[in-house]
Amino acid sequence: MHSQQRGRWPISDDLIGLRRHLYHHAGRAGLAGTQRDDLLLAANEAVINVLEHGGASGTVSIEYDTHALTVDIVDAAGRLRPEHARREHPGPNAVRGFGLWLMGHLCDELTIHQSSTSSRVRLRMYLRPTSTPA
Amino acid sequence: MTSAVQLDSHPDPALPNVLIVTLAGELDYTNTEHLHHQALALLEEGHRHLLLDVGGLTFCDSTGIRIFLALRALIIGRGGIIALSDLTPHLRRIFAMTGLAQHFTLQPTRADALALLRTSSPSS
Repeated sequence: MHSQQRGRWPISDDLIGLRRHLYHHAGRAGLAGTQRDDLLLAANEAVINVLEHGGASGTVSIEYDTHALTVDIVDAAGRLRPEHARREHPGPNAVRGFGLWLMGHLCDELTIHQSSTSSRVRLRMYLRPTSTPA
Repeated sequence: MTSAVQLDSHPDPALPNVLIVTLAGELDYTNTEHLHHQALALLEEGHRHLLLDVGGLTFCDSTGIRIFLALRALIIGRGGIIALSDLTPHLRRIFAMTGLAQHFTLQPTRADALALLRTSSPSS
């Protein structure tokens, strides 16, 4: 039942490599189909935020148990605040601002924790019960 | 590392005022700018409409959507139609979720999109 860290990677512009890692681990956790695609897109959005506004350095980590999967994206800038998790829809004429809005709609939970030196975006997906024995 | 995305144009002699392009691969932050420049380089003055066949696009993030919106603004400015066809179920989901579906002409297939453009824009 204890959630265990399964992978941790430095943030770089190798987004395709990161998506491959997350795809693999999400599959092992039991996430499939739309939910897995949603998680990959949400994590990708969080990493883009770090590359564009968050000092371009940080880490991505994934952990899961039988109930939920958690991806943490931690930057080294600390500009994101908890209230950013409740971003309003940017509207059709905005060319920016979809990232956080999307994360909130793609994941079961989006929370942001801010410290003096970093911000942590936490994405969570609940694992639906399957016929797999516990 | 840059993800791989490919853009190809497919001119249709019967529809000279439509720029028809296919997108394939994974469109993300690392390659959207390049792709935007490629699309703009293909867009000629005579192209009033734009058809993007995105059937081969297996991933598209918000920076990819930004490019679609920028191209949309340009085409709307010309009084034209921007059509997207062959969206994967996930991209269709993202367009529906964000409300973007109502700002683009989404068609099931490239043939459907071409038929629509043919009727809405007879070449004179």
